[in-house]
Amino acid sequence: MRFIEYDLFAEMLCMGEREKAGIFKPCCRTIRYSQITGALRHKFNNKNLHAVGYLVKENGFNQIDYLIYSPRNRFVKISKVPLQVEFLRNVKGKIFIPIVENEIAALLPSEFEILMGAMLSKGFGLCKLCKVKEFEPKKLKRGFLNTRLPEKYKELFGIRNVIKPVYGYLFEPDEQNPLTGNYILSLFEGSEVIAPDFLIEDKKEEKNG
Amino acid sequence: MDNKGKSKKELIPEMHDIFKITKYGHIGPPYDTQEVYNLIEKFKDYIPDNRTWQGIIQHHQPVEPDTFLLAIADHLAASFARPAGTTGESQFYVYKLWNPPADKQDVRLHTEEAMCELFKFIKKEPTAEEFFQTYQKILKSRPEDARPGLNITSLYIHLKLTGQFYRLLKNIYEEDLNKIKFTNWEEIKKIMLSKETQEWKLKVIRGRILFNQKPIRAKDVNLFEIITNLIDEIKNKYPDNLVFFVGNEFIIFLNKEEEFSLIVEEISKFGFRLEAIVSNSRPIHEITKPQWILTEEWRNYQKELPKTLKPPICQVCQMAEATKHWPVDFIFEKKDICDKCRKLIIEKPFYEVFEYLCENDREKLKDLSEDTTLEDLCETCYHIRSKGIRLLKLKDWTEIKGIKVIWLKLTLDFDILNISLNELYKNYLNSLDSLGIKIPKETEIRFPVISEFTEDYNDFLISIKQNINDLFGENIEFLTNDLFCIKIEKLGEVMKILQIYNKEFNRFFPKFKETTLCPIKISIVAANPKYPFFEIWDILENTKDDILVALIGRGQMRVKIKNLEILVRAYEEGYQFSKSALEKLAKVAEISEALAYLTLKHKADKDYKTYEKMEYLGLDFKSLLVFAKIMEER
Repeated sequence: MRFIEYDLFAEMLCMGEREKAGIFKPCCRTIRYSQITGALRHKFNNKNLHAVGYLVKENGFNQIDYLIYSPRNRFVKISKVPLQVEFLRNVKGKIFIPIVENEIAALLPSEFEILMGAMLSKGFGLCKLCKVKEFEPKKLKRGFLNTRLPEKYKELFGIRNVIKPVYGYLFEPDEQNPLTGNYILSLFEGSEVIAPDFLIEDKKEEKNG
Repeated sequence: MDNKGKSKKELIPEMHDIFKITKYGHIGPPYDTQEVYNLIEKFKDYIPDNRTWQGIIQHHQPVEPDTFLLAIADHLAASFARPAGTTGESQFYVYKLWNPPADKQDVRLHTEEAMCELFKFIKKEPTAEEFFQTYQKILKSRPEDARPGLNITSLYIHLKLTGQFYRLLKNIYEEDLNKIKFTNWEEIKKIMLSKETQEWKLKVIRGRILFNQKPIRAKDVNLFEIITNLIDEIKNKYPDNLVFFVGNEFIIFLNKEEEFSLIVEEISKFGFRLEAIVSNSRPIHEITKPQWILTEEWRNYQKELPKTLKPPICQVCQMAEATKHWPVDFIFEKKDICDKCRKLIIEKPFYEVFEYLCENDREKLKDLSEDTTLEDLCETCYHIRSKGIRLLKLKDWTEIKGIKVIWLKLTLDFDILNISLNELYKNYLNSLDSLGIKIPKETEIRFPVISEFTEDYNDFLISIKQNINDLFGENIEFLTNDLFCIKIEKLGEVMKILQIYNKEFNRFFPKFKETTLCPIKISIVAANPKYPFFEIWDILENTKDDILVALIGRGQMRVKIKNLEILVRAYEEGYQFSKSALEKLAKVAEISEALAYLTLKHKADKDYKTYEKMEYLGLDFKSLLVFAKIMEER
């Protein structure tokens, strides 16, 4: 399978870890399948698009920041408890799209913009994607997965073997009605796999205090 | 299974080496000497006619099923495979590799009166527990094997493990045991070897109970208690199979695949997964060497997860469908509220329902009314949450302005423990070698040494807990034995904790300050009480440093255990930093660490005096900065 690699840039990105989990909204530290695929399908209106991504570990990029805001319930005219939202500044990521059919390569321009993540109305989530290359992964590597993707699509991304899975669930919208859907069993970052090297984490990220 | 309440006629394997606490050592063939015959003759009226006495005198040359089994259990619980060819005088003190004794006294029973007391004790047909209680001091200081170089585990640990292995094998192989024909000793010896090296097999499982997803909120820290309870449950169900357990990790010997499946099922019930190394069935003589476990692969074991879940998904574990609404369902299910209020809870929107409740119920539900977050939970997470808020003090601390909390976690790395113990053992043998004492080099660390260490590690945890409790009193929340939350006023209090840690580390494990790697880690995170727990847990869980101090938003200090003494001394002596010099160095280091190093060594630099003083602390630049911040808030 051939893949298209894009660099993703965004000024501010909020990829919520959960719908709601108390007053703190953590941000996901990888670009999960459901998020990027949803954004691409919305942009290009093509259901055969699949993609995963990750955030690069380069100095100055992907800095964590926080925003405190109080969402207002317009229906009952009440502001809710203030939330602390974690987001990323100066975002740089890598996106990989498998060319499942020839039209995919033709469909995707070398540069384009998408909207992704939460708080779009607050100016978050505008991402610019710049094509880097088309390639066929040659090397398979054993290591820890750097993204999240549905288990059923693991072959599509060239994952040959799952040695030690870390499971979770990703949301999959219903094809007819994207506002509904199901959660599907997925491989999460940290799963030990044999996969193309772009899906493998270089080494465990060090957390900042 | 404990011997408490067991028939006194049953063999008590823990007592088989009872004469090792005396100057006689072994009695019974093939060790009988004239001295032993005289002893037996003298106290013959005290000798009980029971299975335990048969075990004492027969365990080196068994002639019947129970003592045959005892002999095998004795081999398995030995620190070494009885190497021949050692030299040097016997040493009747335990040389703990991590904490060699200052006092090398021989505390065995030597006098006539003490021997008489011992025989009277045997005559009473005591339980194993009574035996351990009565002779604990001698049992813990007398080595299982007194030969120099082999004296690294106590008789106490050896006897405890012998008891465990005896019952474990008896449960599995009793039928096979009864088929053995006991003819002569040479034949029995061959059968014994065959059972140990070929026929009798066990699986070894090294497991860690892990979260599928990170615990997200401090109110769900009940999860840690559940992990402790799960290990306790395994311990209660398989008391003789479990040979190691610290924190969320355990090592267990099992016979059947089904037993393992049951453990996995139990762990999965609470939404955890088991990460484990599972061996094939191996001959029992191989299983007590932990080395091979280190080279095997970890796999995940959990019950099969559903391919799809219907929304809403549980907001805590994210691994199951949410069927409960927190706290609405919880309040509705409460038995002590009136029917009218119960009805209101489901009829009115949650954020305004408290206005309508009767005064009595409003007071009862005060804590829940403050938590206005509504959550969808699965049955398991709901059940865990319903057990009550574990961190009541933390909840109060979030109301106080200007305070910080420290989260403290102690961790034991089993892999590094093995490496370090082997390193220390090599050093010990080399030190004996230089004294002309020869030990066969085949020797390697076995489970009895690990068990001996674990006893000390647990005492270390208790002692740390006690010391911290004495210092911080009411300002502590203990989550488990190795995870605490402490309220502090100033960051400088972090150093008080490191002072305690250093003192206790020196008391229990001084030799780990000399090894290449240290198996014990401490991580401390200082944060605002409202700081999200899941971020804190991420730091506590993933530390690879001997000592990690993370000040949220202000950096991390990484310290090697061998530098802790110097750091604590610097704190006690009120070490003063030149802040500007330090910041200059940090800025340089951001551009180039090599350039920063040159700056540090540059004698003409105006801040050289500060740098010279700092260097001996053994910290990197970033850690130095954090140390300076801590020292500023003494």
